[in-house]
Amino acid sequence: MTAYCLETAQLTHYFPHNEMGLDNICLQVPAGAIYGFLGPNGAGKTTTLKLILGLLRKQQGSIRIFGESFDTHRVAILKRVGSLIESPSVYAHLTAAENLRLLQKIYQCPAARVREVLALTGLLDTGAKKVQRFSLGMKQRLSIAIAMLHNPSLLILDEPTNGLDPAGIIEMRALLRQLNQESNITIVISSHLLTEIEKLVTHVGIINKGKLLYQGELHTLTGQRAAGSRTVIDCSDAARSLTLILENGWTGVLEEGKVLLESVSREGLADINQRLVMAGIQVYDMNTRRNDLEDIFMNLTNN
Amino acid sequence: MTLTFLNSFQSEWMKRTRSAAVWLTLAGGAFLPVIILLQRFYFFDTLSKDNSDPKIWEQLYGRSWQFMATFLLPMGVILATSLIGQLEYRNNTWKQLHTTPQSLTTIFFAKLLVILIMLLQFFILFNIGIYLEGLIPALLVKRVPFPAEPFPFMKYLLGNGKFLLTCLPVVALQYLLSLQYRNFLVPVGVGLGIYIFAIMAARWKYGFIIPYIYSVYSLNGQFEERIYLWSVGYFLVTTIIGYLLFIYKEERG
Repeated sequence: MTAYCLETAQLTHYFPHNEMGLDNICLQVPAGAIYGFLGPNGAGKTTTLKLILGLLRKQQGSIRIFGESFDTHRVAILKRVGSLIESPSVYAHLTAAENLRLLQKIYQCPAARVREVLALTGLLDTGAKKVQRFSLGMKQRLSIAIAMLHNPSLLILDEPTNGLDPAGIIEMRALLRQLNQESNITIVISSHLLTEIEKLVTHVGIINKGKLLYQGELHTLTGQRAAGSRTVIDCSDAARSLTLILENGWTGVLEEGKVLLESVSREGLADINQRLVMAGIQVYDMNTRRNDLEDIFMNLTNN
Repeated sequence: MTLTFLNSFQSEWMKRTRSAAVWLTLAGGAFLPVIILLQRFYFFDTLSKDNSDPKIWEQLYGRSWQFMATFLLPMGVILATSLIGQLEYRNNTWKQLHTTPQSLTTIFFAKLLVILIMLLQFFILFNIGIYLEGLIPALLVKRVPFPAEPFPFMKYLLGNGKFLLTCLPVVALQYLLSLQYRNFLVPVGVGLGIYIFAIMAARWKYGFIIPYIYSVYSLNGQFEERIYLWSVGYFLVTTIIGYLLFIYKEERG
């Protein structure tokens, strides 16, 4: 049986006027995973994460973190959870270090952690500069420093790269990967940027209109990508090429004077190329377009 | 439990550093003593005579508290309490605070304690100011004697204690409002509205039911037999209501 770091069961939430917010969400985040929580804007990602952290009053369902019920072990669980929900949550009239120090008092973690997380997020040289003079990216990095201050076992990050420049996004991704691999921190990261998720996560949950449409390991999802690939062959005699391809057990069709193949492996394509050349057909171009996560995501959310 | 509360209080205390509420407390406490001191120097000729008066401290106390109790104290309490309560809304930090490992009870009472300590700080500062009103002329002008009358500590302590009690209902209601409403104008607007209404109803025989000008009643000796008890009652009831509304809030950040 898999040990889930975070698990929700039949999590359902209604907004005022009986508007359905979440419908039976059953998240299962294995310990040590980087779990990408994907969905378009308004899908229910933030609502789910707010319920998990107790920022919204739970109506139906259950939430278990580290194997304990959140309802009965709230304080003990929050000691081991770091979070960043939506926009930066920092005191603008204080400096970065002051923001961290006042939380260090609550978490009772070593004072040296303030400097460590400032260095980790590249904010060490901000000194006496008040947060109100920070850029959005700097505020976001400070929020991440706050989330990591007490060495949490679980990090819940809602759109953490908002406001970061491309270099900042790459740094953040590397930092999260490092935290996950070296400190075995479980990370839940929500995003609508699919490319960002794809490069970082081990597991994926896809939500739309309050319903969890897919949940599982990333490689299972990417397996669907190879299965859905399409190859277009541009050659000197498309009709004869198609006949040759069909005779050898592959499937394909003619489209706009070119041969269109579905889900052929790399080795298969090499074999086809060799047979066409040997038959005296000139092959000008073989172009394979794989289904990327974006396509899979769009298919799931559009259905 | 006590240690958790202490840590939480320290954290809340650090938050108010350089905040508008701190400047308001400092400026509010120093404002009237500075004005009265300037006024004393303006009437330079009477300085010596005034300082030799056997009731000099009562005079300075009365003059200072007259303005403070009527206007500045209720206004200051309304503004400072609302500012402290609004600190989290303004910085979008409620969600951060509510994901820290502390109970909602701890958060609520740590914040309230910060407000009460700041109020105490304000009173101490104001009284130091009154003391300096009597002392500075003697220090700066050779021919002005030091106040002849010994400083009446007990009288000041008792008077201040009464004024402090009259502030408690205002603190409790403003705190409740500032925790419930994101918009700063709501607690301030409601506070000012009740204050103006209380001023208008000051001569009404049931005026004591509106607690926002209890400080004026305390100054004038009006309804003295009941306002201190009512202050404590209003404070306790409003704090309990504020607490219940806080812990049963649907969304926390």
